[in-house]
Amino acid sequence: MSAGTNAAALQVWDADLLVGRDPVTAVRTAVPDLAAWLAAGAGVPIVGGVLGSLRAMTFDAASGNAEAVEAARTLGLVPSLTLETRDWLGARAALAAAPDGTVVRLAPQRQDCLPTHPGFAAIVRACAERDLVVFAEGDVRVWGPAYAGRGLRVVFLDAHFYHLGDLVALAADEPGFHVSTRLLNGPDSLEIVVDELGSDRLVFGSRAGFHEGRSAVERLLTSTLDDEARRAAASGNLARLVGRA
Amino acid sequence: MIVDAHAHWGPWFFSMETGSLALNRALLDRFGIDVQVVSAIEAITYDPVSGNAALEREFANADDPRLRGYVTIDPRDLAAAERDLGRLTRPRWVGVKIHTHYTATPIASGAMRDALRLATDAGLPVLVHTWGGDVVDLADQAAAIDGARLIAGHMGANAWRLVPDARRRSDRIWFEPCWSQPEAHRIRWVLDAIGADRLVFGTDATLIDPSVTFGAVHAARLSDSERAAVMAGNAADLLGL
Repeated sequence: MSAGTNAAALQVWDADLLVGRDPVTAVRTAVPDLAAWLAAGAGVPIVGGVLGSLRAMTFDAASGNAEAVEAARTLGLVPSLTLETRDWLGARAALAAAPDGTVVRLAPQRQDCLPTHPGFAAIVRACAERDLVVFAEGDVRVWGPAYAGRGLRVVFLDAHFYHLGDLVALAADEPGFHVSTRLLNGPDSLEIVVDELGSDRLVFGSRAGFHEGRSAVERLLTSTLDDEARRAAASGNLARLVGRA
Repeated sequence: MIVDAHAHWGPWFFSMETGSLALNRALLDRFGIDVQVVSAIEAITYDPVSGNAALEREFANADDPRLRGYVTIDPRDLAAAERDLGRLTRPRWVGVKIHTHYTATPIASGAMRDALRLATDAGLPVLVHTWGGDVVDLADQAAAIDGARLIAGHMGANAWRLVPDARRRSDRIWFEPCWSQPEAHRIRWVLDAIGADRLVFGTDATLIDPSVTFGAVHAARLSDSERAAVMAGNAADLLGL
């Protein structure tokens, strides 16, 4: 690494881990691949994180979520419950069966669901009523407003630095809104989030196996965040969100 | 030695503060980049004539030998391009930059061929923005223009699996991998498919932080010979550094 912090001293949690096959790219990531990533795939051990299932997002929520639970147990991670945004009735049943503290993952963009769809609104409302943390895929400009005004805790997983102004506008009055570091790849993007929203809003996310996880790690390590903000982004904020702080 | 063959200077219309050449220089220092070839954002997004001139002034003010320039040209105005190519010359200006989106000129078009031929006749390699399947179109242009040396910027982004196809179509094409959303294992896959003699390191700084491409390169675990070629040798030969 060319610059930055002492990687060995940093404890990292990863908010964006997926198991399974992505039918769009035909890339497959299995449990052993994720185990290798966690062990030090980017030169930094990852000691915790949240894992979701591509099978659940793209084909069948029930069997995919079972896969996520099993993989998370094997890897020592927190499983996320993916809800099928095209199926409010199924999502409602899944939420009814979910214990308090369940971590939810929503991928409406993958599922051809728009933020104006009533079923999506019902899912968001139900998550807010249960005070469940939502890990949200999709363009933050398009999907972000649908989560606002409810006191929800949300981690936006696909926020791109081109859309940083929109993110700040969206999250300024939403203390529960957080953002993954994965696509905040401008030279000052992480720093702008901390300056504008606070050091408690960034969470490290890699989507390793699909996204180049090492790029995400090196971006965090070589940024000009101060040590407190870097530690919070690396692990503290995510651990707090999922109740493991 | 590290050569960054795809970089920019100037402000973007996004929420970021990247308008100063001082940021380029700070990133060169932080990441140990020895030479960076930049094009002016103003030239790409608004007006190549005023943008190239602005970069020329910045070069004069900064006088940093690590920084070299791409002359940005617009295929829709080759008269202006010819004037700038006659005026902005080595050793500071070492190549030509053409963006496809901002010039609304598809790579497969006749206008693009004329622009590529103009740059080639000026003795310069050309960095062309490629996105999707048009990376193959660029290879076809390279095959059709004697003496062309074309660099596929972003190497097609999410169409990177087409790189071997593009490479087979021409000996006059190189590939540069910067991308703000890098997919896993991409650089290793391309190196294994086409070898190390056609990949040139690039960051897209100061739009994208250099750590993104550095991370992708580190993930590819380059051999010593691959590292020498990709990080510096190929670009140094191509750009005459």
